[in-house]
Amino acid sequence: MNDIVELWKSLKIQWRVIYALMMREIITRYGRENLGFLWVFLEPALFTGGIAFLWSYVSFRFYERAEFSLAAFVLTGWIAGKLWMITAGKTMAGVEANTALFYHRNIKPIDLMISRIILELCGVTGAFIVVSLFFIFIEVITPPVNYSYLTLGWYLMAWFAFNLAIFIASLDIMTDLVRKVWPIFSLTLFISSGTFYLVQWLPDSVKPYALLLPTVHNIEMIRYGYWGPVFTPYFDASYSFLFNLFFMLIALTLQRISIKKLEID
Amino acid sequence: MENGKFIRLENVSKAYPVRGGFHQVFKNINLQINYGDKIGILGRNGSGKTTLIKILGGVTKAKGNIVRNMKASWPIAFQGGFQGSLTGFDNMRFICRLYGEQWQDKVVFVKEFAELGKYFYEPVKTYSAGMRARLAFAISFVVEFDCYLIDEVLAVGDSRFKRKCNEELFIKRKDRSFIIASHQPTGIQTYANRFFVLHNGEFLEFDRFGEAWNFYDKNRV
Repeated sequence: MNDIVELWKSLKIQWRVIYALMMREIITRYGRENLGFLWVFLEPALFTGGIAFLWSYVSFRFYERAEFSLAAFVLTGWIAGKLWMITAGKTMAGVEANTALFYHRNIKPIDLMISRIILELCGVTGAFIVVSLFFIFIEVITPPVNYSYLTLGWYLMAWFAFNLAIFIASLDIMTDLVRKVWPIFSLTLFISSGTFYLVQWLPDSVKPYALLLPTVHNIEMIRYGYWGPVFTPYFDASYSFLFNLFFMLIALTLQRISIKKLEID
Repeated sequence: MENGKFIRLENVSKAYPVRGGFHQVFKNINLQINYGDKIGILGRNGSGKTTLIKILGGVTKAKGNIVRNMKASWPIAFQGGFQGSLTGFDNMRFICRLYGEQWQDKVVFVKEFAELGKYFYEPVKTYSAGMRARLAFAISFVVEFDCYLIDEVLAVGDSRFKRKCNEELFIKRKDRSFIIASHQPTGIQTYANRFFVLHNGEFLEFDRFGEAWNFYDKNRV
């Protein structure tokens, strides 16, 4: 019983710390005036919205056989990919830039990481919703067909983003090499993750390799939820789930190891 | 001051990795700081004062055992946690949120103590070094601690501001513990009641300030 009380107390403190860090970052980034907090969603929304428009004109010829609107293709692929890319990248940078905060003993690296992860996940998810609504409103795309697949795919992608963010941010504490490899790694993963293709377009010999990536499953799931059976989706939610579970175990273990390596100037 | 609060270091050693091995900062420090103790640590630049302060504050890990039974502050007037694009007010609110204090109760004190006037609501990056230091001092008094860590900062500001800080620390909180690290004699002579010298990785205690200073002075060059 006492243990539970203690745990509850420390969870409350941890949430207080994470909340304080989130507020600090929001005010730092967006200021206290004007649209303030709204920019958390609007910034990625404007960015991805712009990309989506540009892309739908430029690549029209390439995708014109498709049974769905190009905007829908960009929207689902691009923003879902950005979900993990932005989250992981900004979490890594956020820990590095704020090591001086560890002078406050109740701030641990994991708090900084979680505060960033929550912010970025909210931001990109908000952007997804804002851009979706806008595209639906101007009738470039039709509303999602199946919300359960859409939500499940998005959720699994967010979980993947969480794991990846903890993983690379922890690795970054241990070695500077991560920072150099990250742009190459993230871009490669982004390109291979189904942002620019459907698995059904791939040759049969390549499909199994693409489906090794949980991100491919997630994007297929999201698209299936959005468009319904206008294409043949390839995904296995349990594969993505188990991958995430295993990945989370590794990421959190690495995080614990990295704390020992942390030196504060 | 018997309330059972203390921090104890048992055989604490610290080494930093350097090219081709380790740099041993100090070895086997044993120290019990009871509530109310005023610890003065003399040491040259690079003797490990700051490292020791960081270990006491729980910021840096070290080899050995540390029993912590007393709430230690962050280093007084520490400025590293400031976010330059935030205002003094925002930075204060962050610290309040972090430690679960109501900022509404603290804002008047911080604003007046820091003497920033309307700059309190301007980004910290527009401050002069003195203004930053004043803000950092003011914010340090927002949270109450059992033990205050003071690392070479007693010489900040003009003499009037110095007096204000000393009063806030050593008079209003005279029952607490202080750990003062410095390469200068003044603060330690005035406020400490236990005297230490960090020299070549050794941590030596002296009964009187004069003895500690003589030893430090002799080995300084």
